[in-house]
Amino acid sequence: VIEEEERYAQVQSALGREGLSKLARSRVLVVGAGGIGCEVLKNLALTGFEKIVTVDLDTIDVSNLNRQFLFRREHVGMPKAVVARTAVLGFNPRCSVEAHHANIKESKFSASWFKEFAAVVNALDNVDARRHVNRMCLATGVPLIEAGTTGYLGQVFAVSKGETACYECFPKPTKTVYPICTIRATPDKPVHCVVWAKELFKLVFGAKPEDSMLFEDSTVEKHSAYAELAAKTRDDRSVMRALVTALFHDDVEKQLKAGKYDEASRKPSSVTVNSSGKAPKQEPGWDRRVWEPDECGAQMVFAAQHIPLGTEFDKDDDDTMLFVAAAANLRCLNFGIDRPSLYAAKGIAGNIIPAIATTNAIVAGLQVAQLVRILTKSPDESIADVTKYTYCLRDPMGRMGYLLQPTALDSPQSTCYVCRSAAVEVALDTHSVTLKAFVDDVLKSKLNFVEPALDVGESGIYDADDDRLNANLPLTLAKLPAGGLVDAVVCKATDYATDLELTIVIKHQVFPEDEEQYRIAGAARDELHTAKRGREEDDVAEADAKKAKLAD
Amino acid sequence: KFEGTNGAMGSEAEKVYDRQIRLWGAEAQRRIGSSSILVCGFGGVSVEVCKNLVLAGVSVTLCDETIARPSDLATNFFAVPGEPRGAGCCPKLQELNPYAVVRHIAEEEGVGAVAAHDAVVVECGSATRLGELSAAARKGGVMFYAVRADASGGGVFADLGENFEFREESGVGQSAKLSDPKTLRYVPWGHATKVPPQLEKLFDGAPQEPQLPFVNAVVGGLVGQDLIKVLSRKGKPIHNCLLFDTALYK
Repeated sequence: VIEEEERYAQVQSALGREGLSKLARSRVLVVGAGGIGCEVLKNLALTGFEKIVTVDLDTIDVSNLNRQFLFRREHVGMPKAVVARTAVLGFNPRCSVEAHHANIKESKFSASWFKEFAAVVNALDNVDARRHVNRMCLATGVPLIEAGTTGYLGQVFAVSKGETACYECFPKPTKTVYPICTIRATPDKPVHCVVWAKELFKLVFGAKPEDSMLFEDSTVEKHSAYAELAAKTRDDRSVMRALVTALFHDDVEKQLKAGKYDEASRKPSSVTVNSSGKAPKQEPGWDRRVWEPDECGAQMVFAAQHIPLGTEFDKDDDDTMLFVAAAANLRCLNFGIDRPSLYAAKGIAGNIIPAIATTNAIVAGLQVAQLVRILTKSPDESIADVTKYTYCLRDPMGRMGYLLQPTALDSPQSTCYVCRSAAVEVALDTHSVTLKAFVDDVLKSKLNFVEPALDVGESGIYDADDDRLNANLPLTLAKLPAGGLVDAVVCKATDYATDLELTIVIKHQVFPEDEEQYRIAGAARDELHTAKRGREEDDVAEADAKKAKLAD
Repeated sequence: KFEGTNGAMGSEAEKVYDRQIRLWGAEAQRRIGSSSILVCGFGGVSVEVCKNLVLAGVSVTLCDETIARPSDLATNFFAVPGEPRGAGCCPKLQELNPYAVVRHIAEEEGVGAVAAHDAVVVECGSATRLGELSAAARKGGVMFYAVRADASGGGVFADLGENFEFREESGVGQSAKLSDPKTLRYVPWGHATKVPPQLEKLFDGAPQEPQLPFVNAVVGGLVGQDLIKVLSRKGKPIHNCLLFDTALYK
């Protein structure tokens, strides 16, 4: 008993009995139990938070062990949330820790579930999940403490509904999408060749070869030299040897002869590959050196024998990665591009982000510091008063040598469709895009809706909960009921999961075939009715006033 | 399948270190992995520093025979109440990374052991102790870091010698670019003047309670990263002190 009282002696001395009691009573959600999450959980347990919930969909990998210090070698393969919970209880047996091996976007993590928390601490590594948690916190008014790290750099900031900018107020960079023609015909960077190799992998081993960028259906006039052999290899791996020759020699010759590259500044040259030899020997340093063409061919043949049909790309599957690295190497050789080693190819193919313990430790410390300030602030202080947007720098900066740079939090941005009900304009080809594509690609994928519903005026067009409207899915937007979704039509999208309502203005626009088929932008103000515009202007004035007050 | 048979770094270690090697490179990892630090006074900040460094591959010698109290549990998460802090924490610290060596020595051996390490980190040191250790560090060409923290923030003093040579780096991994060699001159502990008010507590050897775990985490992370730069000779270290203010997040 004495031991337990003494455990919190220092924290109580610093925060007072009231403060400590507040922390112990506060239910806190930590989303993610990886690099940042392990550090946050440790900080929470030691500081006296006794009601902790951890959610993570991932299992432990050996490459996590350089920084996710709650995990050991024997835990590889086990769920992160579960193992983290055990470690946290080891630091402080007084904690109650709920561990969920699950995706935070699942419906069981509803608005009423989120509402139980005094605050949410994000420890995520992807924009998609961050947007979702952002929306759930806005829907429920629960403060959110966001953070991210990349290598030596990090940042921490709080999101408070109505008071500060939300996570989506400023557009986040989206994943780079390479034009099909660059991948299929005119690569000039190693990454283009790695992407090509992954598409080749999909063509030969994937469950749906038709999804590959390299797929040619029967209607295509001029087939490549490899199309038929790729299809044959799916059923018979011994065809791989011939496929290698077709890919890196025959097809290049064919394209050159057909005049495909007559005007091009960078012409490919074919490579003769003898793939009947040995794959690169797995000795020290073999993954860092650039393999020779014949080794690459042999590697592709050898790896293919161990890859079953229906395999999806996984950077941690040895055979998969060997195949892709070898193929990327040969593709680079064709086009005179710097060839990657296995090590480099894996980093590109797997989008590996370098990560270390220290940056995560600093960021997690700042997150819990801000959390404690928020929970123990006096009623007349706002969250923006007691927290900062803090940048963690790589090297000491300026004359004062700053390593941490705190700045005032931004106000909500009037252009934000998530927290400010701003409208968006979606430009697309209303005569060819179907409702299904609109729901999947625009609403779910781009706008991050989980359970969307779509209305035009009084008419329901789509509803995730209502099967009767499914008949509309195959129709093109222009052919939908109630006059269709055509140019200048205003419709309303609702997300039941996050309580988000979005006004969408449709713009008819046809995009070139190998470009993105949708463009999303803030909608021009005068396309909306006056009442809405009036409210936005008030918000802008309010936001400007707050910003002036917050400025140092 | 990817098992290597020889080489300074076995491929199992490379799998664990992969994400950090992609950041600072194999050469820096080799230096880090063959470095060792001596920690005199194993308090809340030092445990964070050690956690960070052991994970990175640095070997650690703990020198602290103070018996851990229950109230230490808030900040030293490896401590075993009733046992000496150095010896008691060794096993758990070692568990973090089998490729680093974690050991402990008696307090009286501390000053003599300085020269055998690449850096010494001192926490909770009396003014006398700090003087002895810093002198031994200067004499032995060993990097010296004095650290402290309490609820209001943290302070760090670094002495990296008369001519600390390093290279700055921009970019990471395979596209990183190194600058020409640069040198920095540091002042020895005993000769430091114009001590900022916030750092006086460090120089006086004042007790550092109460501590807050998240403050230690920030200071320990900043010091840990500075040590990694210093041990790998890559990246600009602090020159020559660091202050952290909890309330300002600065």
